[in-house]
Amino acid sequence: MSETPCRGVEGTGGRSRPDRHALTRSALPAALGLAFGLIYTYGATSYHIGTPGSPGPGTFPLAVGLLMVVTSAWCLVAEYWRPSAPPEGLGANAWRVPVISVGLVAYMLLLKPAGFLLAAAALCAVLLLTLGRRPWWVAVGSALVAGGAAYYLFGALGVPLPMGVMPF
Amino acid sequence: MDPLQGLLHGFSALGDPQVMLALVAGVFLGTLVGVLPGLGPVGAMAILMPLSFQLDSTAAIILMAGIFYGAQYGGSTTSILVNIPGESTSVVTCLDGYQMTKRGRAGAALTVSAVGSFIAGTISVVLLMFFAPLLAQFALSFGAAEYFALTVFGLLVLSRLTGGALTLAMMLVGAGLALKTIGQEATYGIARFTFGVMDLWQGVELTAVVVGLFGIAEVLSASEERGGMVQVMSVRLRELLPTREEWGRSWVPMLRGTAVGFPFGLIPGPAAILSTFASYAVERRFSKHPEEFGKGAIEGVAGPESANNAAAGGTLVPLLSLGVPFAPATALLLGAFIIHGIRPGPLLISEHPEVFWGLVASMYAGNVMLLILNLPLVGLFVSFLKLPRDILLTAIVLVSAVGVYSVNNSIFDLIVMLAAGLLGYAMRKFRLSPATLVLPLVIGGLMESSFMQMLLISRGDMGYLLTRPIALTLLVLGVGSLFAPVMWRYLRPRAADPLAGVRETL
Repeated sequence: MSETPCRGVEGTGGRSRPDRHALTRSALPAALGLAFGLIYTYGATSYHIGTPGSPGPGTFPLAVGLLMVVTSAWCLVAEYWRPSAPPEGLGANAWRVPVISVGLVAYMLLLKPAGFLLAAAALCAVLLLTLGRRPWWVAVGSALVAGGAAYYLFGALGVPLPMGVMPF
Repeated sequence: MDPLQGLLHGFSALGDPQVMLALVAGVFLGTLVGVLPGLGPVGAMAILMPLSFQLDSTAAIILMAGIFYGAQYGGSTTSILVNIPGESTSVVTCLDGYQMTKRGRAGAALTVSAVGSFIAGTISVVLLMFFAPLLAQFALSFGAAEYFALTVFGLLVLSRLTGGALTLAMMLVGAGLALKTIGQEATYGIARFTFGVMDLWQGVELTAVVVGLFGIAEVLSASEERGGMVQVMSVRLRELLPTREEWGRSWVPMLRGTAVGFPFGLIPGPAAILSTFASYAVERRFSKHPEEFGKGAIEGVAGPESANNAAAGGTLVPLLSLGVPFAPATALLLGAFIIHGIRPGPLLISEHPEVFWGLVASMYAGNVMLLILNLPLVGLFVSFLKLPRDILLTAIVLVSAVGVYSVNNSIFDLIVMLAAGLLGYAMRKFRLSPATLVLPLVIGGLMESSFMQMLLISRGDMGYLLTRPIALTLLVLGVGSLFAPVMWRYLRPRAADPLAGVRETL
């Protein structure tokens, strides 16, 4: 009954049935949602549910959890009968996604101990080196300038930023 | 306060240099993100929301709103000149806009689109100015049941209008509501789902989630593609003037586009996008030369480009009069209100007249500025298309990282931002709309509190909802929207779901 706008797998041509075991656009999110919904519903029951006349802190979460469980289970059943299209594949430069994420983690780790300027410069350096094709010394130099400029610009806007080890 | 008095009050607020600067910055940035493909108004508003915390409330709201309606102007420029929609609301403009460029009428298309945007934008502010106080007056009688029904209505229609399977969209709505229940609960003060993490007591920080879902996720998605430079045709100022015939063919579509767009804004969901498709269909139907559509019909630019601006004005009505956002962009505006300790709702206009009338006045002034920015200065924005992509993406990440940290001085919020960014990146792969997660996160608090109050008032009798006519109407409309396409197919078996194609692009 789900209103999946796209039927079958794109590009297979003809009438061949899509492979039921293939990863589809809806199956994985629905499965993850079902798992999350079940855990969440279980968590909701640990709070006082009360009665409809005197609801407790667990009432609303229980309703929300059941909504997730029912809709995701329904979606999975519908997927079995009418699989949706596969998800989009990874782009040509998908390796950049984890690298940028690591850059952000480095920023979080450096921000308080080393200060905003160094943390921001590290983040910018990672991004410029990953995304662009500039020589490393240009990227690192620009990153330091960007960090310093951001420090003064946001400082002027009244944004409090940690100084860390930097004396200014 | 009557409208005239209010408006004078609002214009006097624009005299404050900080407010004026916020307006100029807002419409400038709005046009810029409109022109740049990829980053949209919601992303830009999300990234700047934490920083707007540093401004005072009126200036912050004016800045955020300026980005929102400014982007409706800028989006068409890229559609017309490069055949890449700068914004999802300008997808339709590519059809005839780029064809006009190929025929050497790019200047006329840009002018008609900017003038249409200006007319629609201005008319929609007038409508907003009269409608919002009326609706707010009406909503003063709303009790818990009405508010609960309103939030249910909003979320049902939203899940109907976003892409992918309906069940999946409703599951995401549930997940958004679940996120909202993290932290200290309002009625009993009990901490829920905090797992002993102190940072979670205040709940999940909304700014961190939206910056992640709309800002970081966009950068991650853009980074994995091979980006080439965009080839842009240059337009000389002299060529901007449309001919007398082109004007004659445009002004009626502009007004029709406005009439189509504004009501769309009142419906939950991606109103501005849908309104452009609807307007295009209307123009083709009314045209004496339907065969010219897709080959450079100026009506196909004038109508949709007016419709998206009118819709943008319309979406502000439910936010400002009811305090309930129906679209991602207004959800972010609501976030900005909350950051500044203003609770939007029917009392907003009477309790914070400076904010409401300041915003209305700023929209009149903002539309004039946008007309100037998008006509004589269009070349300036086009030159931004040549900005190297690595620098642009780096700047977005840096501003996001600074902003999210600055709200609570919290590293934990940065972790939430990165997690939301990765989630948003994955959701794009599965064509799931991040709006279905954000809207419930924003209105979940109102939903739960009205739900609890309703149960207490009615002593647990859900039948109470059915005795309240407004609440009942909203629920029937919401549930009806779920079944509308099925009924449509039953009544007209051959007609395809008119929104199927649109949903794929959302």
